[in-house]
Amino acid sequence: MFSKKDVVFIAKDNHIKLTKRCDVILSPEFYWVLRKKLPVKTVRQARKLCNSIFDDILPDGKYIFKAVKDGAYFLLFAYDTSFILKNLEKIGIDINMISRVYFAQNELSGDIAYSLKDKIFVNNDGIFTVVPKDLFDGNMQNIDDIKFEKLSNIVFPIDRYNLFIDKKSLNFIIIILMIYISCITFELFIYKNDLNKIINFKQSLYAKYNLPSTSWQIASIERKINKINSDEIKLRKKIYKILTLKLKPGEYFTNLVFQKKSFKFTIKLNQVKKAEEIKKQLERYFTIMHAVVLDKDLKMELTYE
Amino acid sequence: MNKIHPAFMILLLVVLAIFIDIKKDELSKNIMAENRNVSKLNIELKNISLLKNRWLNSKNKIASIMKNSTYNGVNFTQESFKNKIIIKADNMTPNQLKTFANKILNSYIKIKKLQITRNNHKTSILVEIEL
Repeated sequence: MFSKKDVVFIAKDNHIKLTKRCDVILSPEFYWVLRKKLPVKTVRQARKLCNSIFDDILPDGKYIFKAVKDGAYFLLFAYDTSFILKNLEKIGIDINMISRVYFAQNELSGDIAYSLKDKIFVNNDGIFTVVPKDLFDGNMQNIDDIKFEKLSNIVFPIDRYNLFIDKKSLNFIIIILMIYISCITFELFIYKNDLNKIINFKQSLYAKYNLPSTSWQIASIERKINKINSDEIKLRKKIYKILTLKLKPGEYFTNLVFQKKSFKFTIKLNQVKKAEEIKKQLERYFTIMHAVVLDKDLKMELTYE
Repeated sequence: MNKIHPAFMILLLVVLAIFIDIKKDELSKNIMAENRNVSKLNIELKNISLLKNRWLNSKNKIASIMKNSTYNGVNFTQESFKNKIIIKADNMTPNQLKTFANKILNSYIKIKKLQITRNNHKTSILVEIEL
């Protein structure tokens, strides 16, 4: 009968099958409510007092308290989630089909009484209570005929998952996680900053050593330097070979000229046959372009690659 | 907090924490890799810079070689051009020649021309250096 509605009124022991997800209004049998004048101003302060106010009234259970301002009064609610869920399951309601939970106290108008099967919901000093139908003979309206089109914004959160830790602990875990996330996010920014610093430092290195920043330009410089190095080292090795020729006392260079990979020199010899020996020493390292002995003077021209 | 269940919120936060942690790890690895690259690059560029500078300042190098007091009696003449210097030293003893030639050959100087001429016991040397 309620299948077409988005809002369903639920009373204890009243079997209903929900076919789609909807908001529910719970009858006063599911919660405890008091209407009191309190020496506090805010709902928050009133809620803090709930524990002591309900202390002697409530049976054993794990209660959630909520305070709602009602003119000069406060409506103080106490409800046990597990008690509500157990009773909803008992009357065949699938918990997952419930979207939001409202209490009849806030949704029913205070002027008239309401009937649902053998129960009457009557306003008694601002508090809706349940009385058997037989004990009431005043005007009443059938709840099934009411379309709850506009509900209050007073929603009562129900922990349908029945977790092994309470909400307070969950909130504590959330705070810890948020602190942890803040820390690692901060660390992440520090790392990003460090990485940028390293990249900037990398760029500054090129300027520090007065070198271009592209790899091909550096490779070109390297090639050029290596060529100068190898050419100059080779030249010095060749000069060393010539200047360390095995000469006998009285034998000496009268001149030596090096230019453009070419050596020209003259050696004063003691004996002409020494020229062959010198040629043999040098031909391993040079290409002999010219060699002639004139009056014990060995004139040679050598090149190298 | 009324709309989102705390347990679901925790799940979201854990996923977010894992995501940030993974990003942080990636960044940390990048920093380490970049650090290694920078160290390597620093050494490479330093070496290239050293090699590049090695063959520069030939003018100063040759000046410091000529300043040596062992060249008493040697007559040095120097001609400077835009891209080369020609040094000529006359009246060198064999020992002075050996010292001078050794110093020239052991320096990072680009030699374009080398000419040694002996006349009796005195020797003259001409070195053309590329700048």
